[in-house]
Amino acid sequence: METNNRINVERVEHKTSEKMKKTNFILTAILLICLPFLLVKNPVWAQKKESSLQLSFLKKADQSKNILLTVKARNEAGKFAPAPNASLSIFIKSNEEWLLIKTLISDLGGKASMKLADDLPMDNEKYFSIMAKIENDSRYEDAEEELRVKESRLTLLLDPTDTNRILTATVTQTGNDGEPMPVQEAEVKFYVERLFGKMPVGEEFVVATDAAGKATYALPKNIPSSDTLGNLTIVAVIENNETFGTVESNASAKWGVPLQWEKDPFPRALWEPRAPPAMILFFAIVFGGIWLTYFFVIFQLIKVHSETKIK
Amino acid sequence: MNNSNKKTTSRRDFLQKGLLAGTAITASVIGLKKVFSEEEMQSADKSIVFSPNGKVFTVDTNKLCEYTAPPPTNDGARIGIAGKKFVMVIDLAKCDGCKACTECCQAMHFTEPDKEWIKVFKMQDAETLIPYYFPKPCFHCDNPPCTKVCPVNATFKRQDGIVLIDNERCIGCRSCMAACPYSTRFFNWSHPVQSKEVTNIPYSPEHGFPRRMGTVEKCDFCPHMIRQGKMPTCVDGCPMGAIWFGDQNEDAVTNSEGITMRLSQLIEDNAAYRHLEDLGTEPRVYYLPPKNRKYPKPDMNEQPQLQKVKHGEMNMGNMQM
Amino acid sequence: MEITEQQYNRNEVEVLRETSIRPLRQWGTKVKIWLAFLILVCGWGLFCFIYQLQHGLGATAMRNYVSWGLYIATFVFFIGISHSGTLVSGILRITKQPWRMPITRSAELMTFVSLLFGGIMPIIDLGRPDRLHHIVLFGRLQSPLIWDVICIGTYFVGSSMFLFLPMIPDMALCRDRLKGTASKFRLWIYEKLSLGWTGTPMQHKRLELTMTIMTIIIIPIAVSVHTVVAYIFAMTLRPGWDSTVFGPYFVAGALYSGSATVILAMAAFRKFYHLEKYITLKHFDLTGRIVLALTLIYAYMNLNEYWIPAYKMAVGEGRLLNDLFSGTYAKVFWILQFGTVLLPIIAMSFPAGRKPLPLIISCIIIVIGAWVKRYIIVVPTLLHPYMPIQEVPWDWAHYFPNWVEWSVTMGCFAGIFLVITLFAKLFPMMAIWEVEEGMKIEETRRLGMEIFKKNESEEAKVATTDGNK
Repeated sequence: METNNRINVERVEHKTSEKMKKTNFILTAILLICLPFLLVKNPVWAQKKESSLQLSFLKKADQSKNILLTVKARNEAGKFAPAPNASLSIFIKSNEEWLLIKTLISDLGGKASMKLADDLPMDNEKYFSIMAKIENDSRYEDAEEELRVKESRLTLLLDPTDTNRILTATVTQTGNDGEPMPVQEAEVKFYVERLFGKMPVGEEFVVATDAAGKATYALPKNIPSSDTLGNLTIVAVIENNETFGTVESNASAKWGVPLQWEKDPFPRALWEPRAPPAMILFFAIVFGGIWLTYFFVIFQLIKVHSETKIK
Repeated sequence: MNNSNKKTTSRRDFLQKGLLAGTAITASVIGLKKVFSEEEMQSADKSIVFSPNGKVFTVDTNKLCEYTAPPPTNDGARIGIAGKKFVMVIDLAKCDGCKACTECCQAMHFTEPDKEWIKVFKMQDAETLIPYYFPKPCFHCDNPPCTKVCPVNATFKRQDGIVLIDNERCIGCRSCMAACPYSTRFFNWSHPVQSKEVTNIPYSPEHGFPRRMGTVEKCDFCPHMIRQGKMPTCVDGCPMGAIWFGDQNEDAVTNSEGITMRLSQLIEDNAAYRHLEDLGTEPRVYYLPPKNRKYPKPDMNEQPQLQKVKHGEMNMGNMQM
Repeated sequence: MEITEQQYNRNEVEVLRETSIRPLRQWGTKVKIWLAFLILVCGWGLFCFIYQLQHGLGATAMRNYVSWGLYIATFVFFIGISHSGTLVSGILRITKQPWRMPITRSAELMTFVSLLFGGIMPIIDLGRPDRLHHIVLFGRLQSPLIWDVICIGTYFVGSSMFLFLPMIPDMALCRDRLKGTASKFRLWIYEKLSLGWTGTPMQHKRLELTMTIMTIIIIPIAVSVHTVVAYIFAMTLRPGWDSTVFGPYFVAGALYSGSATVILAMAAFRKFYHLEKYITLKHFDLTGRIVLALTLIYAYMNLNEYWIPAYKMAVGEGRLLNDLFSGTYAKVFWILQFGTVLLPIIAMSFPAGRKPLPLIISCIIIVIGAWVKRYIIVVPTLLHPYMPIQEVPWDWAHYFPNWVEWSVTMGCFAGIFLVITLFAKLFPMMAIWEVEEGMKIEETRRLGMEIFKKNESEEAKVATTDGNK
């Protein structure tokens, strides 16, 4: 019986080892077949996502010239969503030739930005051209976007003592003679700065410039300020203008409704760390009374203990 | 196939976001200055700065310097940002139930997939009423039932209206979970699954991670992002611009499309309401009714099923007698 | 006529003292097996608790919706049981019921032990029991949980004193009587606990005084404890808990289960300690009446708790009540209402139902019913929040205690029995001196009655003679 069993066991072992060999062989074969594919850097089956680029020009209030990029890619649901970590090449046109000036990587929101130099190569019409490209990105399909804009100047003026609170924005561009020359019919938008963005000052906050390149707006008096001094930062913007891109300018005045400081942000309340006095008083009286009674009882017991000696 | 693909990408994003969030926290800027790039900092002449103890002053921007600050301490996180009252407005007419907000939030806070700090419900109040998608974060109530019942002051309300949890103090009694009528709170039942990068980040109640076993967590309105001048990640991540966020004191809210509106105007024009107002919790989240929707309404016949899988990896614990 | 000590039977006292102390003299095999069994169950419970500590509360079946489960239900149940001692000792002491004497000790012991374990239950339920000291460091008076800590702590101290006070003369008795049979250590304990009691009139006076004070003070504390336990639930906005009647409802429920427990403890000690002479059918009948009265109050509270919201069927409450009345929990709910409330009421209404066996059965049903009822108060409410339960893992939306919870809870039950058994093997289970006093009173009453009858018959004689005249 025992020997028989042993033989059976051995047979089983033999069988399993044979099986293992077979699987090993198959696995090796699969690995060998797959190896060339694995070695390819950008495998064909790892589909690249369809991508799109947005390129815009922004001249900030400090006169710095910037470009802003937004990269989007089609996601699993088929929608265009922000594409992070896309590698972007930025080119500038100089003498009819595209020169690579920088490579950028998009952030989590699919955004990237860079500051441009002050003197840019311009063409005859005083325009300069920028191009952004996605090239050879492992995750996104190639895409490119071009931009051709002209520099302009926007100034926002206000008189802090003005009771009518008139905001005046002036838009000029450099004329052929190098002198500033007013820009007409440019749409200037007036905003106040808020914590997370720019809020329109009122209902009709878009004003077109007149022949002198001026746009004016009377600031409403009910805009709350974010501090107790009533400071407001007003921003005038020409937004996504075909010729000039986006141009910003800002100015400050104490024209806001001052912030009413909360007298006691942490009052004694049920939701607060500190309990209302009435509650403390109630607990102190009730439980103080009970515990005093306990101590009286304990005191009596001590007396009981001491009285034993009398006997 | 599709599923596995999704998983790998999301994990990659997860790790990248983790690293970025880590660096972002260490390099935070003093007070509440709006800093989006270094260039901007050198230029603007004056800045309004809030000191940590709640004072406001104006200084030359040039004199402001970026410094590497540790994450707000528990004491700092308890006080909150002075002079602010954060509010959220969710436009139900714009929400198409895509759950991008949930995904963004989960990635930023390194939450496990079944913990949805902001959860999109399919709601239908009655059979004759229309169904709608209902994203629900924490409401950061002004009369917070959760904070009232906490025995150790582990959950607290700050002066900027945000309700947070200090998971270094929480004793895990789960009173707050019982008290919250909106089922907003989650408990770390088992050892939390989190990577080394996450556990190495110093803890702050302002972002809630690294999470600890036996403590409660919930939506925190991303105060660590606000301190960097950024909006909460669900707001930023909403592709429909359906979520607005801002400061009630400034009467302004901003959405992911960068549009800033007057809060009072938004509330007035859309007849905003707050969920379960009659409970008296005074939520800081407003809803705009789903009027004139731009997307198909949710199919209520496709009732969301319970997931077949069980929570966590504690299979032994799930065995039923 | 003057009554002196000599006039009641000294033999009676001797028999009483010996009956009470005999079980303390030796520990039988049965007791040892019983203790071993209890220690085993306790040990297993402890092991499971350590397992739970290592793996977190995820080791239990509790999840995000049902965030409180068997532990909290058992906590409420234990606190309810703890009302037994207060009820019997306190209320019967205040009303000066002479028949209470033989059953007070076991009732007070039940209070002490169930409070001890009632206090442990929420700690077991904590996610971070290692941070228990935070309650002292950062305690907020506004939290119902802190009210619980304060009230239960106060009640525990009070009931320990309440248990201890009438034990002092008995300790002196044990100290004197068990010399030779008990170990030195035990004698030392008796010596210390007797506080050097020698039975001087002054000592008696002080004991009586403290007993009266404690009796008066313990009743409101007991009521506050269960009210505050109810507040943990009632202070939330959840449909099903958000009820103004919850405080008194819980107090009634506590008295209902507590009084039943007293009868069970009484019956157990009567049987195992052969106290049939002292705990008589009269005791069963009288305590049965008390349980009946309390069950009626409890039934009335149930009516208030369910009928009022059921009449209105507001959205949140309606969903929960539908589930209770005709949904998942319908069977349990109706069995509880009819089987564990109505049935005992009917049974106990008849004198035959207050005989030991039927009464014990009623009480067992009541105690189990009270426990299950706590579960039905805690769990279904948590499963019916205002927000719909959508797209969550299956086990978030379903709850039944798993083996860890059962083991730990059973460990606690075993712990209760263990402490009771050890206590009963170390200390007399009847307040001997009180029973003696009761016997004195009985004797006085008997003698008084005799004198009264004698006078009456004499007067009658006089009257008849007068009439004859």
